[in-house]
Amino acid sequence: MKRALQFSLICLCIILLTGCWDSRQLRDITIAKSAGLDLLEDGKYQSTISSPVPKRYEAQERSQVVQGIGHTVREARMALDNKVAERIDTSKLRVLILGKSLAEDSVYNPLDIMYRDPRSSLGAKIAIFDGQAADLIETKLQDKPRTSEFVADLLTTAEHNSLVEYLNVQLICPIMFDPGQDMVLPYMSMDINNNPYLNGNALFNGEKMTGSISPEDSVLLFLLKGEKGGSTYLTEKVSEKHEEEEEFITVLLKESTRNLKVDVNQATNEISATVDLTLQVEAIEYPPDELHEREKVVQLNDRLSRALTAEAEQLFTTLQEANCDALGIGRHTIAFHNSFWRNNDWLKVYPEMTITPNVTVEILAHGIIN
Amino acid sequence: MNDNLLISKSQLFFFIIQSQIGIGVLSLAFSVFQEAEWDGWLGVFTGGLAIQVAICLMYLLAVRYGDKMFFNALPLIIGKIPGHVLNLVYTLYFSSICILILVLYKHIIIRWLFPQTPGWVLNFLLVFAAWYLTREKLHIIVRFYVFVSSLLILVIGVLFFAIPYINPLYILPIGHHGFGAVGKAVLASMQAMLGFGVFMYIFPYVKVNKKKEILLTATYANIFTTCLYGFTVLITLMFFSPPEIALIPQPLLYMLKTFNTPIVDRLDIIFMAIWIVSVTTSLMTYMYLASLSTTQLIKGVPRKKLVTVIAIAVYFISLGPKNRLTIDKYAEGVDTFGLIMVFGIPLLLYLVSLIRQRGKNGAEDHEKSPSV
Repeated sequence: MKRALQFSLICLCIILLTGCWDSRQLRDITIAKSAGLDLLEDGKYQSTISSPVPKRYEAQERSQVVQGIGHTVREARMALDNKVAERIDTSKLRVLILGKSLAEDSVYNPLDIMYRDPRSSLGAKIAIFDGQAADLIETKLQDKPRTSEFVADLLTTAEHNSLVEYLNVQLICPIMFDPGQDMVLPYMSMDINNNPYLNGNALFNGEKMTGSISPEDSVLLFLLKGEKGGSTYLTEKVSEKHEEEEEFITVLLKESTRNLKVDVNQATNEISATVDLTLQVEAIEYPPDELHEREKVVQLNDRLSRALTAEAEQLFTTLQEANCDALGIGRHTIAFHNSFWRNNDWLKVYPEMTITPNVTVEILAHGIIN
Repeated sequence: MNDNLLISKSQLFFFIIQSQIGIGVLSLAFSVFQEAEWDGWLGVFTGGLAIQVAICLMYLLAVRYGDKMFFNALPLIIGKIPGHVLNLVYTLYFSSICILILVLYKHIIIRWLFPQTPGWVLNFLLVFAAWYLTREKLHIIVRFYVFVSSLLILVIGVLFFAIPYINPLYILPIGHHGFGAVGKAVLASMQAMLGFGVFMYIFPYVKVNKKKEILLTATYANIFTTCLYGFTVLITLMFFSPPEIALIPQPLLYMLKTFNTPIVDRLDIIFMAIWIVSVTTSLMTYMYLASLSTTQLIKGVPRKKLVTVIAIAVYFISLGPKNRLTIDKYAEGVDTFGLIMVFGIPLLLYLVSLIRQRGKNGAEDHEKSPSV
């Protein structure tokens, strides 16, 4: 009796344990490695995915690109499903590219299905493309890896160089929802030879793209945000106007400390912010030499500081024009000046407020020659 | 009582924390956020203090009847019939928690891991494992709890992945929502910690030199769980900005879904695999307690058989609720039930026992006293 019971239990376990309703066989799915989303002129969404093709088919190109259109992103995805033999699976997505027209409309709506689906890859990198995202996905690069790999690697390197922030689909979400901060996303373009490149960063106000900045400004912006990648380089013009020859110096950032202070003037009900940034750098290119002379170094420190402060001022004007609170000054206001925050409309306050940058540069070393 | 059946102090510690840590931790940050927004973490730590008070109360009650099982002592405290009624209420309470755990477990697993797998299979596997162990004696159950507690290190470990991405400004200004909101958050957080009461029910099984050591062990367990929960909630609240967390019912899993490691692509799935063990231990505890209180009701039936009956009953009932709104309503009901059973009833019992006992003691003192 007991034997029989044990035996039937074992049988039951075997049946139950093998039953996998949720198995996904690799042969049944098409793995999307990169995806592009666009908003078409008629208000429909267009979804483009690129997926690697297994070698056994011996196709000439090793990835396939398909496109679908629909009223919602999900519908566009369904339209895609009808075009590939297997089911499309986005859980291994590496890069998500959003077209500029879509980004200017709203980023959250198309991302909703990513956030809602338990299988979606929230760790995918995200970038904005100047034009139709489909163009970038469809590009077949010569002598370079697949587009999806290429873009993902390009962004990773840029993160390392403080050109873009370390972000993915999920990490942008807290920033997008927070009324006291705005996000800054990588902005890509294509040159005349159809080679994609990083063209700085796209500025957002809430979930809408409102402007962009150049790669040079991007580095400064992330330093002002208090973020620093592994190897950050800055090149600045250090010659004054009256000097005949133009002189440039390239420095490698060693240490950076940022101090953001937000002050509210109770009497005038005005808010202002001061951003102090101290950069400790190493000169890695300066052809005029003479870096062993004390006066020269002091002069360079001074000129670099002034040049960067002026650039930072310009950058803040751009940010305020785009109404992009990239530094999270609003977050500081919520945290430390809550009554001011509650009584004022931040969207109106931010573009008008005074932000004073103050950059101090200190050259620590200058390589192995003077 | 046979010495071999007793459990040690450290085993009691793990018994308490494994009973506490369960289904609640996934949505804890969300439920406290709903009450007090970013001040929710204050609620968790205050909740720990409130629980300490309850632990002391339960200890005082249990120590009065130190040699008897709580469910044995009930008829002695408040009389035979009310005692049995209360025993039945406790059985219902423990069973309703079993059902709640199963319903929530099924709901979360289907949402997060296995959308195609039928709920009855998921619940069956969980109930089967719980039934298999709960049939055994307490010291065997506890050995399993101690063994799986090593998994908690991993649970704490994965939280560190979030630390580079947190923004402490999200929880400022502290105390913005006032005492009322934090008070509600205390209630919300306690629902995830209710398992602390288990030490009262198994009081005579613990082998100690002094009874006070049980109180100390329960306190340590409470400190551990409160800190673990507080840490989890703090990290989660600082990871998501306030408007986003309002959208995410299981913020802890959602947060882990963001990170890739070179070896493990999806941390949330690893986390869930570990977390299932913690859910099973909570289910086991309540299944065990339900059978324990029933043995006092139905004399003469071995506990092993009662466990089987309870397991089958909770399994079939748990297959019912599917709608998220129904589940929420049921969870709310069980939570209120729990607060009454864990705070209200012990307080009442303690007062009753004080009054009854005082009459007796008073009379004895009177007899002894030479002056009158």
